[in-house]
Amino acid sequence: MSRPGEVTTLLSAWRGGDQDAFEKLIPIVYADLRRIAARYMRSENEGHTLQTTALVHEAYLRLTGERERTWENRAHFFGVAAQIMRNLLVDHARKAVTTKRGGGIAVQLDAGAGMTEISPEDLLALNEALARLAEVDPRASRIVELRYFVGLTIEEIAEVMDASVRTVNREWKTAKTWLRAELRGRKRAMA
Amino acid sequence: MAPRGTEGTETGDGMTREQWSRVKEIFGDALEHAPSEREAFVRHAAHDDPALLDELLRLVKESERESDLLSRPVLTDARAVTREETPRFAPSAVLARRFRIIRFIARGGMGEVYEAEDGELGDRVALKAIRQRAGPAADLRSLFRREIQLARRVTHPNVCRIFDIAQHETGTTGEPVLLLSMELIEGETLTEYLKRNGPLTHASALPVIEGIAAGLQAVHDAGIIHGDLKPGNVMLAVRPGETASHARVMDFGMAFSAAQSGEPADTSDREAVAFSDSSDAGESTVTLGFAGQGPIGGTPDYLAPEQAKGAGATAATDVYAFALLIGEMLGVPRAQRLAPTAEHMPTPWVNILRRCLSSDPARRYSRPADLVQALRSALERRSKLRRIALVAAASALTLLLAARRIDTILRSTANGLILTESPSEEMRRPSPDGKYLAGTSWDTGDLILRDVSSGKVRRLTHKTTSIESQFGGAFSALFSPDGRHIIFMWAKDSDENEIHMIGLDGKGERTLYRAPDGEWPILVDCSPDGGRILFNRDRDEGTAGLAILAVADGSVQPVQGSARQAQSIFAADGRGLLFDTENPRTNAWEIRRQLPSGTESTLIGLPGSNRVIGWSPDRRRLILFERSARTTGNLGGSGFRSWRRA
Repeated sequence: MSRPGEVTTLLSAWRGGDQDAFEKLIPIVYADLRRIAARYMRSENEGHTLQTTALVHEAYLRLTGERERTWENRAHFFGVAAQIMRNLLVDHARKAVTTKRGGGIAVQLDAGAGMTEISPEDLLALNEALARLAEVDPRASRIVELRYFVGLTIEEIAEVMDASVRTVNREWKTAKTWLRAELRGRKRAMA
Repeated sequence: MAPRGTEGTETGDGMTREQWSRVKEIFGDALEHAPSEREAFVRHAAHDDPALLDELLRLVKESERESDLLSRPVLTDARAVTREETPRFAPSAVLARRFRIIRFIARGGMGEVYEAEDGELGDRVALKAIRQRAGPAADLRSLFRREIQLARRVTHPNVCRIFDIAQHETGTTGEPVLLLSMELIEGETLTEYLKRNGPLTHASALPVIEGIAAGLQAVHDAGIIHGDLKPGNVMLAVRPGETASHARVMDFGMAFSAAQSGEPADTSDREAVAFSDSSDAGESTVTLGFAGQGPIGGTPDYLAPEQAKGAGATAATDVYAFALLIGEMLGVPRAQRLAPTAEHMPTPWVNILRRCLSSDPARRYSRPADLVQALRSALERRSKLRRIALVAAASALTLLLAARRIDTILRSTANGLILTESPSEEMRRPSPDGKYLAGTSWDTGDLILRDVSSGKVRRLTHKTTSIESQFGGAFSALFSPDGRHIIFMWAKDSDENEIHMIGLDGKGERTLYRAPDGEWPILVDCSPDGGRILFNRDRDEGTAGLAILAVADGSVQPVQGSARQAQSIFAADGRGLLFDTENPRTNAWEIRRQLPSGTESTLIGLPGSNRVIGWSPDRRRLILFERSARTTGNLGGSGFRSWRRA
């Protein structure tokens, strides 16, 4: 786990415009989330259900500063986790794009440790396409969030969503192809 | 589909749910066809709907293109980030004109493992890239063909399937890379799991052991010796609710093919190829050799004596490695792994594993299935013993005699005697008269009471939701000394924890204590007069310490002195606490008493290790766990003792 308070400090620094803080923040938050997620997935029928609850709450409190919150179920927790990750990244991409357009120094999203190669523009386009997908198929959009923003495996997603691995895999592949096609179409239009 | 912008952009706009669900259905079906057949498939399926067909063709076309977008999570795992070496092949690289690399997974002794798309199978595979260093033959494939042919025959749910072998020619250096494609399994290795979660209890390890045994048996039945069984070669597809359930054996048969019962194999059998991992200058290299010719195969820690001598490996060689693996799973330290003790496992398992670790292969179980059967039936015998112990629990002396055999009495719960291990409930404490057990139902989280003689279970609390959909419930239940009440920790769904008291009839529940945020009170003991409750203030930050709760007014006093952080229980007369502590001068573990005034005195100062387990129900005998050089016998130098107070 990261040190208590570290995330909060970085969050406020980032909100105050410190881009370095973001680069430090994301891997910490992500590592925490993954660890919690892994424990969460394995906790049922196990003696450490309680500790897991505490962990989940702790992480959530750290991420949001919200004090009163209970989880309806696992899907709820991961849904919120995915939202948090998505919002953090999209906010960052927006700032990066604005800075670029304003003639400032471009901030590379992939500069931080652990980021895969996606440009801020692509991330924003993905975010928009994902929102459109959510209008016709909220479930598929959720699968993409869990896979892409939280990094759950297909099997884990199936567990969280109480669906079969086969179904999730199929929906994931279809949604992924559609999103790729959307982004490709957009690029072509802009070129 | 919906109105489109120019150049096919913005396709999603205006698409209805119905249209999308048709797209999804047909395209999902199309994905199950080979890439070359997809277009024909969607043309047929959507021939009567031009808009739908347009959208489907767009997706089919997209699926044929290369794209990195969404190919892996936006943030990669920290482990991959900190790795100094970069993987040899980058995403999108195509190897042997067939495998397109999707991502790097891990680096092992034999090479690197990637997730890849197999153009021929049209599916994702795990691809192991093994770099040959000055190998004996130019064409690695011919050397491996026989192994692969054998390995491909094994299709078993507990075995990672091997698909194919290929060779990737590298233009510049001329060193070919051997590729092994195998089933892609989402999960983690047993090594990673243990690193993250620590050792398993024998109960949670058993399903994993059974899975490995089934897989290994299937491999043996196909005439293959694994030759390198170790936690890193066991994948776990972990599902919630099952600690670590679905074990799958991988990397089998890469070291040896089965020689007949240790006899030198004939020449054709000896064509089998083995790897040996040797480290020079910190670099992991792979050399090739022939089975039966010199020290080969396996990982040093898991090498059976006969393997180390270079003799032929047999099924018994794998059984040896399997026993080591079981020890590692259960937390046996490396130094003791060749001679495990009951400290880390049920007593009957000790001899079973030791037998498998015999240097004489003939003394071991010859089949993995036999080993697991022995482990299982040892537990069944033991649970019978345990039931007998329950019925007799009323008599302190009998309980004590039985306790010498029940090694699951855990120190960690101080005087909590774990007496059953039913999968749906956790039963801990016996009532003073031995008639009941109190515990937590893992179905609902409720406090449950089991009548020992009839076996009937009664729910005392009534949560409205299951433990899965909502957290919380009753934990660490204790009986009051008069046997009329149960005191328990009640974790509410909102993450507030309280100490409650309830009658055995489920009536008169009341709150004794509300814990501050972040504190998990774990109940340890009730004073003999029932007036005080000793509990551990387990906090998130790890600042645990014992405190005493007064039942009458709910006041809490932290325990002071040495007993605060120790494994403590109330003294038999309720005056002060008993705890065990290590004497720095003699290194012996002593049982000491700390009076309310803070004065300490030694009650038991025998040499060796004396740890408090708890009082017998009538509080006339103190049960200790003792380990000393004097004690010998089946328990491997440790055992339970009782100390009768004067």
